[in-house]
Amino acid sequence: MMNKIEVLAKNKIQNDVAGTTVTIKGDTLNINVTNKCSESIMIINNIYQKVLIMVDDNVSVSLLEIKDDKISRDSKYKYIISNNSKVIINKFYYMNEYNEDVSINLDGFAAEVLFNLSVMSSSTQKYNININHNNKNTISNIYNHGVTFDSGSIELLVNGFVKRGMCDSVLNQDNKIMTMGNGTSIIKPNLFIDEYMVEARHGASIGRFSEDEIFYLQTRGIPPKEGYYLLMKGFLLETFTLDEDVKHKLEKIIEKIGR
Amino acid sequence: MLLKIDDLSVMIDDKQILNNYNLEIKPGEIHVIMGPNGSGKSTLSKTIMGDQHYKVTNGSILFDGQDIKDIKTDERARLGIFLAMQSPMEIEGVSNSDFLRTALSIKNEGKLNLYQFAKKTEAITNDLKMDKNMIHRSVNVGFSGGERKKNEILQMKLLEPKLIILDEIDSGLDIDSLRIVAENINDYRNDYPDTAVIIITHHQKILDYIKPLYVHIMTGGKIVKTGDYKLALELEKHGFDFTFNTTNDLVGEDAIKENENDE
Repeated sequence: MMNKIEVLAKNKIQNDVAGTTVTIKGDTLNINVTNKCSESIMIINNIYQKVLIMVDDNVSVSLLEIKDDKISRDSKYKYIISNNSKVIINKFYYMNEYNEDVSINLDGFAAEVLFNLSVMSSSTQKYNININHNNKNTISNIYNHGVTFDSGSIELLVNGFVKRGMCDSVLNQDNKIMTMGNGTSIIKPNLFIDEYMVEARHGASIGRFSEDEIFYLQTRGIPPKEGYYLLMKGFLLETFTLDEDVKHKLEKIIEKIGR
Repeated sequence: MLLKIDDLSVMIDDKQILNNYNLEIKPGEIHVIMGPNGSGKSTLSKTIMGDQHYKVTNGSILFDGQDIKDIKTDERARLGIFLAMQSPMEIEGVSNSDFLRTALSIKNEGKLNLYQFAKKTEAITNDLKMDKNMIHRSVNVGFSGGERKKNEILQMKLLEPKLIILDEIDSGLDIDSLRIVAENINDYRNDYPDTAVIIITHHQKILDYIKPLYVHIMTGGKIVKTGDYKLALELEKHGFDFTFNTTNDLVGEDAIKENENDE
């Protein structure tokens, strides 16, 4: 079940999620997730420039944030994940003029993050994502998928850091941008590893949806316009695990923009 | 006539592949096309399907009496042409189910009964002895060669075409899978007897299960010899060179005319 933390207005937050506390300090939205939380959390309409999400020990939680074309203020997100906690962070951003800094801190032993960022963009956007493996046996799986339209461009700067002594950590980065227009995107995937006992891989690609895939879909009677929508939907949502109603909502957004 | 190809010449990257090619197929007929690698068999299938990489420089393709030369691939598919590909594409992130629902919904002009779709899909996957989870997996991603070919037949049975082109459907299939695929094609033809089939193959084995009316041998971008099932057996036994060098069989359209006269 997915419950909401909704920013109704400045200093007015509605929190329906049991096991979490939400506080505001200046321009920072603080969300604390305890092990009493067993739900999926949707963060809606965040207008705060800084967001700090602290996850206690032994928590398994899924976060979803959707940002639409009304959001234009840049934000900084900091996640702190404690011992034996697993956090799934899903971000679906579309058609906004927005930049974001993300700092994921795997501070606890065996802390784990699955980070999915899917962006549809027709403007110039920059995402700076840092993943800090600050303890042993930590795992990060980072999937950044973007689709650009018209002259839109996305810059992804993705850095994975492993300090010396943080052995048996696993880092996986997958960064892909599909270009539907004529904008020039950039991906800078970096791994900074100061430890031998680490498993790490990263990949980055910028390109267009395959004409061969479109032809295959056409041979089954699917026109290119529908074909691109199918490919876009698969590309942007393939790593998301979502409730059916939320998935349907995101599919509708992709359909509206992508067709 | 379901398919009539007249004097078709096709180029790819400035190279002539098909050369004044002629072929006529009536509803319900099964034609086999054999030939050495590079003889133009797959070019024929892709050209019928409207692949833009292949440039038609001469001739016409009539399907159901309609010239389809300038019709887009997806429209050709909706007219009832189905190409089971030699190497079916992997499409990451797009589930088989979503793909098939979309294709059927477009074919039925937006109408799709989800219950009937699920029921029919389940029945076909049973017939093909496919893993039921395949319907929820990304199209052909992680599928074995045999599973991919079965997936093509699943799509064929759901989309109910009038002309089926099987481009090396037998490659990558083990003995049991080949029999299952062939049985499913035969079952489909029993349900829709007017469906015509073009089988492109290198091997005679599939013809033990699906009996053709004609066997054509292609080389240099045209049909050089036409016969019946026995021609495929001869080919299997003696190879292409021997078969090309014997002239006792009727060739091309003459063989078709002769067969029509016999009927």
